[in-house]
Amino acid sequence: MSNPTPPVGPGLPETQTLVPDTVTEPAKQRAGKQAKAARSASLWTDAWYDLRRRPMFIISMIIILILLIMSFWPSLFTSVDPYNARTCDLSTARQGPSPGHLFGRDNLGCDVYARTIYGARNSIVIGVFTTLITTLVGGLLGIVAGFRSGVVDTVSSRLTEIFFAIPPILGALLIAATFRGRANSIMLVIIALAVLGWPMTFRIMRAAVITAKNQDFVIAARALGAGAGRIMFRHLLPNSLAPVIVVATINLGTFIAAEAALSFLGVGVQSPDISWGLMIADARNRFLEASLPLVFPAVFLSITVLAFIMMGDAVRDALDPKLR
Amino acid sequence: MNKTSTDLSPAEVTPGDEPLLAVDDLHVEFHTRAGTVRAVNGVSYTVGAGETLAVLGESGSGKSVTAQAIMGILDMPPAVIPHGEIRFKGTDLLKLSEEARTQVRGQRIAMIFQDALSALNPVFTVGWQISEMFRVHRGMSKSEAMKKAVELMDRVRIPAAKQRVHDYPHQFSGGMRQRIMIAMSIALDPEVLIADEPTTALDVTVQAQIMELLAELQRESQMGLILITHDLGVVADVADKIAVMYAGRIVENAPVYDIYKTPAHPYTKGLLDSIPRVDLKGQDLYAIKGLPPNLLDLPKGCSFHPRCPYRQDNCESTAPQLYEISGIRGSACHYWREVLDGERQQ
Amino acid sequence: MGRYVIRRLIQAIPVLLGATLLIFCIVFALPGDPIAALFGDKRPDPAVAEVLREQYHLNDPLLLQYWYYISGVLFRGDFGVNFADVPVSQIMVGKFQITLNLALTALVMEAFIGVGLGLWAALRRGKATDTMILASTLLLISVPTLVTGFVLQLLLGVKLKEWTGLDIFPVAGTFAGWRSYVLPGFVLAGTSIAYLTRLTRTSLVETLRADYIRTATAKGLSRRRVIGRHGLRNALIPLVTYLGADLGNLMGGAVITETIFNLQGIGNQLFTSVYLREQPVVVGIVTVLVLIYILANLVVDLLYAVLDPRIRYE
Repeated sequence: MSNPTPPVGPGLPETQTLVPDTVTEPAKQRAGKQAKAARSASLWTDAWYDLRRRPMFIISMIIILILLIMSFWPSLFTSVDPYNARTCDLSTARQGPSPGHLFGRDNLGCDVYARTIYGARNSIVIGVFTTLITTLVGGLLGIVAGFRSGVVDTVSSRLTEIFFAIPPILGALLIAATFRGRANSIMLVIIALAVLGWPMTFRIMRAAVITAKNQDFVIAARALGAGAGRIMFRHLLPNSLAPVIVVATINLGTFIAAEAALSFLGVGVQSPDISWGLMIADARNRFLEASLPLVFPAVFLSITVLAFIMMGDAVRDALDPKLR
Repeated sequence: MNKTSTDLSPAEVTPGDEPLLAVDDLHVEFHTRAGTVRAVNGVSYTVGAGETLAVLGESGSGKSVTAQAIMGILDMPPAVIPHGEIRFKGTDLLKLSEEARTQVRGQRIAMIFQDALSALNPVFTVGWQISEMFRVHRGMSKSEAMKKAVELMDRVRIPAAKQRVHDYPHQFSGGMRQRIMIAMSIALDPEVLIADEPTTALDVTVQAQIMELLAELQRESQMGLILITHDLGVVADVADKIAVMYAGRIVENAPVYDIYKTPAHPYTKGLLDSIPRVDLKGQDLYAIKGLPPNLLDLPKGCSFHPRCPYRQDNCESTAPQLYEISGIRGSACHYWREVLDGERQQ
Repeated sequence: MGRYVIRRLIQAIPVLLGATLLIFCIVFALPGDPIAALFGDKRPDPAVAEVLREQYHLNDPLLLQYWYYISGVLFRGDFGVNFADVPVSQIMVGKFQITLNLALTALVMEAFIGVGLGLWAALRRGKATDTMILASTLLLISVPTLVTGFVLQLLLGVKLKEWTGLDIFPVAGTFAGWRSYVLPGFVLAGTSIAYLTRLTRTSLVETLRADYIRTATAKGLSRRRVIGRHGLRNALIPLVTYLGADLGNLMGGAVITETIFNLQGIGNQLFTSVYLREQPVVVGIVTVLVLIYILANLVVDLLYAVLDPRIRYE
């Protein structure tokens, strides 16, 4: 990615083997003269330029924006407060859509629309915080392991292998079930998912750092006597961030799906808190007679996960046009 | 020049003045998102049986693209050939069907590539890869074809060929790998062999051995050899004639001796002057000024004019044709006479 | 080759021990007295409780308990008994069969659909087919198993029968033999199919860009042979790796699918045991899953060596 403006680039990368080097040579030399900060800056500038014209990116951005607003101010979308039990009416259980209750009512006669809207918050909170923790922990360990190699690298790499050997959903299920009732259920989900999620970020960061470490400008910086901290955070970090950000975005979606799965199994978010996974679990027994209380949270869940994965895909394509 | 071989089938017999392989006014463009890359802009050259043509030029001059067009291994799209002919024994290859083209490829016109490590398939033994030629094109049995592969490896002087046929490409040294590449390309006695920078990836000592091997094989089989290189030193001993390419055009062609002795194009002259010479030790090495042209946006007029010490006003407006200097020489410079005279005008 | 195998085996040991220890710690970090739980509301006779405690090594330090356990598993194939004295291996065996059937069904679907779609997309790169396939992989990755499970159960299991009278896909249980596994198998395979499709596409596209493909073309081989022989053989390597490693993931990820389709597999059993606080069963199940994961990866490494001579002669 050292060549920020390949004139024959993004659209048809296969021409690079055939179209002579001359085309890219001036660009390479220009890039070579610039500082490494500018190098990564132009990578992001280029990516941003590319992203702005990708419909996938724009659509996912809009969806995510709406979701964020929904989770901060759900009352903008519905006047019903689903956390208030008086809004439920058992005698109207499983009623179909009606003017005041667009998505109908669930098994307890609560408004499905309002609950679906309010469900966004927990999904987003869990997704965002799990991603933050895994990215920080995995990313930091990854930088150090990739840079230090030797014992540090061996130990932490073996450690991640151990975590990879445990099926993630089962591991999270065990943690969440073991400590159920002993901590805030939302926090517990975050921790359970983060414990099994960080090795992924670690691997990606480590691989990226090892690649960056062997590039000329880092070798040059070391030769000039730059300290370890400076090399790690000024040189390696900016140049290894791209794949980590892509994976973090995609993982955010995955974590939201995992939260729904845990809640569905009864070890995630606990009633009276609202979660899409919980709503699906509640609706499943009467699923065949009243499918709407299950369908709506399912649709919201899918669209949310889709938005984040779509965004991750778009960012990756923009950062690495060769993959297209 | 036209030593047409005698074993032609009647359909292929062509007028007596038709050389073995003739590239005629070939244009190749790549249509990319960033615009049209004009990689080859009207190249013509010929090669006869037993003759060696060296195509000289820096990367981006279109020399490899021309070769790939001859082989028919350009990816189309993005590559387009809007104009030109490639005549092999009088037949325009560009007009052939894909099946007919496949029959020519490898069997009658073969090619060897620069980096044999990446050009050989890593998951098959070298024996398998060489013998594939005989199995696919000659319908030989596996064991027969393998025997042929060993013979070929002997012929390109790979020691212990009998054992080594079962080895994989990564188990050979660079020079040995290039020999395998050569063995594979001459397997079916092609009439034309194109060598695209065959020695660039090799050590200097090995380079000479490979060139020698190529020259020897050519003498034995009388194939026409097109040697593509950016290295003037490599071609001096083996080439009969040289075509110098710049920005997708031939800027000078001539017998090898003439080029070295009296270059008739400023670019050729610059190339020769930039070779370090022992007798000029202590003097500054000459370098051609400026950068190679951007093929997306070629300079108007003569493509070389921004870098040319002989530039006059009309160079910026009128592209020079390939002026005939003598029957066997040409130069695409308005001022070839001045260049020949060695007068430097600034 | 021999040394490569041995090195891989040795590397697998710390992973096996570490992962099982981790699970052991999580499960037994559970506060509360399992013996007391066993007796439910009744207060156990202290003497009896003490005997039981001794029997299950509950008074020993955790690490020692772990050692008793793992040595039993590894050297005698003994997974211990649950608190009702039923051997854990006996509880697990039938359930593993079901989950294995499910995972293998999913794996076969994955291999055929994923590789097939990926190849198709790669050969039609940039065309409408390619775009369509890529878009559907995005959808398949994004829609959670939870959702595909219920949607397909409703559409193919219930509605299809209502509309056409054909009972092709059983909705739940394993009464219809292999047919019972088709629908849940697909649901379980969903995400993997999408990833494998993408991987296949990328792998083939990258391979076809390689120099040796150009060489193969220059040898005068037909396009069919160039792609089928030279391209595919190389593009296959990462796919086999992915498929092998995925068996462990599929078995470990089956719990949601098993719950939706009411298959009495290992996921369901684990879930039940977690609720019943049957630690020996929980640890037993996860240990076997970790073993399967490690074995699958070993097989993958060996396959890798078979497929790629550069590794074999390392």
